Order: sequence, then C-alpha cells, then structure tokens
Amino acid sequence: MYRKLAFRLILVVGVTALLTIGIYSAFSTRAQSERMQAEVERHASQLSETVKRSTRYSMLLNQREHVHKIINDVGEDSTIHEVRVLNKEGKIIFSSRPENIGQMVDKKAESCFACHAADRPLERLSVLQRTRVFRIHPDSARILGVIAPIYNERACWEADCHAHSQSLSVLGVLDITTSLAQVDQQIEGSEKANAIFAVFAVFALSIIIGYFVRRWVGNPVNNLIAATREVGGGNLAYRIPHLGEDDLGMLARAFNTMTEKLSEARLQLFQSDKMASLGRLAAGVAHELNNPLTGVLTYSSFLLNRAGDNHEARADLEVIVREATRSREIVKSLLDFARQSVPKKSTANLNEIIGRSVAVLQKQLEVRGVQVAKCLDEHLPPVRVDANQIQQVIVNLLVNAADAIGEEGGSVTVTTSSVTLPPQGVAHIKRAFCPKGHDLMDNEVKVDGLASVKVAARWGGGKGDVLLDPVYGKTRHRYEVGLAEGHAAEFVCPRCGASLLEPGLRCPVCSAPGYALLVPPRGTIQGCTRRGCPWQYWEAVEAEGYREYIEMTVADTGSGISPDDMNKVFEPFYTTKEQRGTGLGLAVVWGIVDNHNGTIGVRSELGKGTIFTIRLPIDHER
Amino acid sequence: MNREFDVMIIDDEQVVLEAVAKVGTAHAYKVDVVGDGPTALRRLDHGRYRLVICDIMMPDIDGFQILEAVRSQHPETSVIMTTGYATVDHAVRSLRGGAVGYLAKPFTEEELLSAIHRGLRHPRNAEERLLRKGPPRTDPAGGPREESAWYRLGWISWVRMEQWGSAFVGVTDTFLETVGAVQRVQLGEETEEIVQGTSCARVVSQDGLSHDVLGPISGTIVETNRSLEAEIVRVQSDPCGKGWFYRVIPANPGYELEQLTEWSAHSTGPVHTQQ
Repeated sequence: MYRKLAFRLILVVGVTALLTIGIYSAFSTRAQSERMQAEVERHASQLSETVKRSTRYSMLLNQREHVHKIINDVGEDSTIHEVRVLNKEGKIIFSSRPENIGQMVDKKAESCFACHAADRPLERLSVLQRTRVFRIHPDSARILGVIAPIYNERACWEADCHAHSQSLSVLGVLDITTSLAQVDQQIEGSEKANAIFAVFAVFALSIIIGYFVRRWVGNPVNNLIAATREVGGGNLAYRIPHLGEDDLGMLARAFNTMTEKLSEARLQLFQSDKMASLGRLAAGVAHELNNPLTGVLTYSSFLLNRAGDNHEARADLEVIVREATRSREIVKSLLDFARQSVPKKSTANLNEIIGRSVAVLQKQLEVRGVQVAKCLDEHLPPVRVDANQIQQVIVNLLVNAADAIGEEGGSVTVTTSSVTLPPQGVAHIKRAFCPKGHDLMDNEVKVDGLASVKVAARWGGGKGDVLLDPVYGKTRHRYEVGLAEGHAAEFVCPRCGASLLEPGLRCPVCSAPGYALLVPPRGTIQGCTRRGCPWQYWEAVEAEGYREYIEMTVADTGSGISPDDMNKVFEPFYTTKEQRGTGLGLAVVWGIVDNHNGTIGVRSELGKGTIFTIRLPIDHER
Repeated sequence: MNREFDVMIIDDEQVVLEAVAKVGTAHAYKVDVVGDGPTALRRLDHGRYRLVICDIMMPDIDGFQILEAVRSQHPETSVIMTTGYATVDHAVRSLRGGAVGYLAKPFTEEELLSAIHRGLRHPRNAEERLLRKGPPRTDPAGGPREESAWYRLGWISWVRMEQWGSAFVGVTDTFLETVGAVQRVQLGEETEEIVQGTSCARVVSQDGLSHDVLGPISGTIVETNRSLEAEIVRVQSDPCGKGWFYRVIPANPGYELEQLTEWSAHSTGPVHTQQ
C-alpha cells in the first residue's frame, strides 16, 4: 500500500494542500483578529473620551455624586468590565465597581505601566500606547484597557475648591477596561471553520487525484506489470490491450513492439537449428541416394541404347530413364538446399544485386502483369555477401510474389535501407562445454523448446541437476533439485565432475561464486550460482553492441499467407503451389540469410499481400 | 597378366563399379575396377592406365589425395573426378587440382562415355604446350587486345573479365581437341543463369557424343554468340576469340575468380591460387 504510486501521490498532494491552507488561514485569522481588536480599541477610546467630557463639568463643580452616577451608568454595559478614575497618587477615586474605591494602584500595574515605565511619568501618549490587553486569570477572557489622562486646566486651579495647584500637568487617569470575550469567540469560530475547510479540501483532492491517478497511471502500469510477467514467463504472443495516446500508451506500444521483435528472434533461433539439421540430413540423403541412382540410370540408359526395335522394352526403359533423371533433379535440389552452408562472400552492393535479379525476371514478370517498383537507398553501404546466393534469395522472393499475385496482376515493391539495431539479448547458447571438453547441451530437457545446458549442482544439503536456460540473459533455469531460492551451489560437469566455478569470480550482483562455461567459438559465458540471481555475462555478445544492418523488404499485393501456414513457410518441402513447387524456395532463402548471420521475417494479411523483411549485418572487419 | 588398361574406376560403391565396367567393356575399353584408395595406388604403381575415374568421398584415402598422387607420380594418366555429393566446390577443386573432367553422379551411359572419350584424348603435353604458347592472343570481341585478366576452369572453359564488369566465357582449345570434330553447340539463352562448375553449354561432336561444358563463372547471360550457329567452324578455329560462347554479368566474381587458374600473360605456367 505505502509503496503504491497512487498512495504516495495522494500523500504528497494532501500534505501540500494542508500546508497551503494552514498558512493561509493563520495569516487571515491574525489579520481578522487585529482588525476586530482595533475596532474595540477605537470604541473604548471614544467611550473614555465621552466619559471624560460628560464628567468634566461635575468635576469642576466638585459634584462627586454626579460623577459616580455617570460612571456607574456607563459601567452597567455588559461588554464593559470596569470604568474607574485614579488620582495622581494612584488612588481609585471613582469606579463602576464600588468595592474598588479607595484602593491604591501600584504604579507598576498594567494600567500605569505605559506612562510610569521609566519611573518618570510621560505626559502625552498616543492612543496605541494608552491601550493594553491582559488577563485577570490565565483562563479568563482577555481584557482590553484604555487609559485617558485627565490634564490640568485653568478651570481646575481657578475652581472654588482649590483642589489642584497650577504646577501639575496631569491630575489623574480615566481607565476603561472592556472584555474581549466576544472577539476571542469570533476568532475561535473562524479558526474552526478554516480547519474544517482544510480537512474537506484534502479529502476532496485525494478523491479526485486518486481517481485520475488510477485511471491515467494505475491501470496502465498494472497492465504493463501484468504484461511483463507474461512475457517474462515466456508468453511472447502477449500484447497489451487498450493503448492510450499518452506517455504510458507510448510505453505500452513500445513494449508490444519489443515483444513482437523478441518473438521474431525466437522463431529465427528455432528455425536456425531446424534448418541446420535438415541441411545435414538432406546432404547425407542426397549423397547416399546418388550411388544407387547411378546404378539405375547407367543400366537403364545402357539397356535403352541396346533395345533396338523392341518397342515395348524401349518404352518401358524410357520411363525408367526419365524417372531416374527426375529423381536426379530432386536430389540435386536437395543438395542445392544443403549447399547454402558456406557463403562465398565478397564485397557487394545490395542495390546492384537487386537490379540484376529484377532484370533476370523482367520479361517473365511483365508477361504475368506484375509491376516491380524499386525504392532503394542510394547511399547503402557495401556489404560482404555471397552475391550469387543473395540474388537467389531475391529471385525466389520475386517468383513467390508473382505466384501470390496470380492472374489478376499486381505489384511488387523492393526497398533497401540501412538500420542500426541494439544487441539482440536473444543470443542462443548452441554449444557449451566443461573445462575438460564434455558437451553440456541436453536435448532431452528443453527450456522453451531449445536444448538446455545441463550442469550438476552440489551444496551442503544435496546434489542434483540444474538445466540452464540456453538463451543468454534469460533465466528460466530448471532446478531438478531442492535447492532453496537464494542459495548458491557449486556447479560441476555432470559427466566428469570437474568444477565449473571460475576461481576468483564473484557475482557482481550478489557476490555469490560465479561459474564459467566454454561456448566456442564465442569465448566463455559467466553466470551466478545462486538460485534466483539473474546475473550472466557473455563478453563476445556484449562486445558486438549495437550493430548496423542493411534492411531489404519485398512486399507484394498478392493473396497473402494464412496464419496456419505462417509458421511453416520456411520449412523445406512445404508448398502451397502443389505440382508447380518443390517447397524448397523459401527454405533456401532462409538458409542463405541465416548463413549470412542475417534475419528474415514475414508479415502477411490474407487478401492484401505479404512483406518479407531481410536484415543482413554490415561487417566492418573485412 | 596384361597390366595395360584404358580405364581404372575407383569407387567404394559396388553398383557404380559394375555399371562403369559394363558400359566401358561394351564400348571395347579395358576397364579395371578398384574398391578403395590404397589398392588403387598400388595397382597404379604396377600397371599402366590411360585414365582414372575416381570417387571423391571414400574412406581411408579421399579422391583428392589420389588425384594428387596420380598427378605427381603418373603424369601420363588423366583423372576424372566423380561424386554423389556434387557440389560446385568439389567440381572447381577437382579441375583446379588437375583433373581433366568432373562427372556428377548419377550419370547416364552417354555422359559416362563422353567423359571417358575426352579423358582418353586429353593431350599428354597440354601443360607443356600451355607454357610454350602462353595465354590467348586474340580478343573475344575482335577488337584490339587489352591487358585484361584471363582465367580458366581446368582444361575446360575460360573467362575473360572486361573492364566494365561483364565477362566473356568460352571453351578452351584443349577441351575441343579432346572432343574432336564439332558438329554443333547448344547454348543457353540470354537472361539465363550459368553457375560455376556446372554445365553451361553442350558441345555435340560429329561422332554423336554430347559433351557438357562446365561454366567457369556464375552469372546471368546478357549475350549469346549467335554467329556460332551459322559458322560452327569459328569454335574450333578461334576458341578464345571469335568462338566465345557468352557475355555474362558475373554474380560473384570477387570470390569465384579466386577459385580459377589465372591464365596470365606474365606467368610462365598455370598459377594455382588458393583461397
């Protein structure tokens, strides 16, 4: 759950939203609170001014009862905490709370502090300086106090009571304190609203993001993971459905292309092995058949030449000679097929070979109403090939194309281009030996249809056979033993028991001991002996890296090949032309391309046509 | 015991030995049959043979070793190679090694007879004559002779590369000498393919035998010498000039020329270029 991409995204977006909303509401609450407090201050200050003015006359007349009455009336308002007047010495002379009258206030108390802080009273203060906020108890509501100094004036020292002398500037202080409980309540309410909003926003964001992440990322990624598992398990026919148009859709498309190429390469490997053995078989059969055929042909022609006027015998012998000659041609075509093994290479230009091949067939194709279009890359690099064999390939493909087109006429397009391709990653271990030269290939147990590499494993708990995957870089090894996943074993030759461990070699992934197998003529292949560790290294194959190829396609507008026939087209003696064909044309093509270390692929659609694609490696060595 | 024979047939296959013996004897040739290489070499030392027909793929000693032994120890004996595994390589290697002919199995009576016929008539002094005469001096097209490379496939056919990539192909005077008087020549058509070491034309002699001409190079025929139909005499009078057979576009000259014997104006004899 915590490792899921969607969850992580939601978490990050949620935290970001929470932070943003939190910071915003902190600022906004503070501003709001300041605004409200300022309002209260202004109000309190106005009130104190009003009280001062309304009591002024009573003060001058020294009518204390009047002053008491006014202060008590003002103090009755529920929002007002206390209204009081202090004289110069700090004695409370009037108060809306009668119990406080007569008490002395310390000059260090909060109401006096603004003026008396420096031990010398200040005489004039701004409104802001005259305001203070405090709490009586830690858990009571906040209280805002405003003090208004009562200045000395002519009327005071000239009054009949002569209470104040002219030398004083401030006679006392009017102090009004109001409760901030309402303000605090409002601020608290707004903070709560903000918090609820934040929680709701994060929740809504998570749902929206979760939905779209699942839709745009989660599902495609799950599809990809499922596809990787399928392909990893060997099902190369698997394709990812529902491709989108976004980045992940492109990735899925690239993945599909990759598996397609992989399955082509695998088919190529299958075919390669089959062809090689069929070639050897054909050569052997041809050789063995030719000797008895020599007897038949020589004797029958000998007798035919001496049959004289015996017409019946002549006719019979003619049949024997004719059929023996036909057998000779069949065997010859078998030999032609087997003969592809060693190409006679020289540097040639593929375009020229194509030109020659088309010229050879030009008339035949014209008669059959087949147009040949050439779309050739003029800057095609030269390639070392057996020009004769490649010409045969092209001629065979063109003849096939013409046959597929049939009576109605159509066109064949031949193209060439040069392409650069990554290392195959499908290199096939065809031969493997122990240090003493024992063959390790096992034809009985196959991994994915290919003969596996058989080694014996020995470890503390037992021993048994391990069948290594013969495709380089793939690790579908078969353990016929109870070696636990993650455990290493010593690999030895199943025949002679010689150790296959390479002294000093440690797996760079898990540092378990490494094995090395001889794979002539391409050096050695190294791997890890720990079960489940995928490390393998084949220097000769890795060294090849990206390779340049010449790509040639022959595309026709003919009848196409049915899916059933598709995997048989390169097999010898497989033909759809019945009497007309030997079934060797494409097998020969296949053999030639394989012997040039090239690859051939075919795509076809019934009723639309067929495209053969041939890639020949460009050898820079010579 | 008379130790003089016309033909020795060496093959590890009994039916082939019998067939060759039957055909040869029927045409009044003295035929000796041998089933393996070591016996053949012993008999060669103790008798006289005009022609050896030798299978290539045999146990103990293979045909090429016998060819080499005969060429070095019995130069007066001609050799024709035969095999059931008839590949271009075998044909070319045989002829380069000094065999006068190459006969692919299975063969008909006629094919065997014409091979024996030519083998027995192969001039003893062919190489000596070649040294004396040097390469051909006439240009196939009839124009001024250019300094260009001539190559030959054994004693059978020649090819001359032209500077613009095409090549002339014809038959050697030695081959015609072994054939005898020529009655007609069967040539391939333009656009047909010829393949090195396999039959590219047929020469019919006046005694009725037809002789396959093994092509010196693979390629597509772009021109056939039609003038030979009217003037067959040109073949015999000027085989390396006006008697040319084909002009071809070679399919794989780079490789194939290396397999042939260079017939150079500067070399004093046949040069065997190994691959």
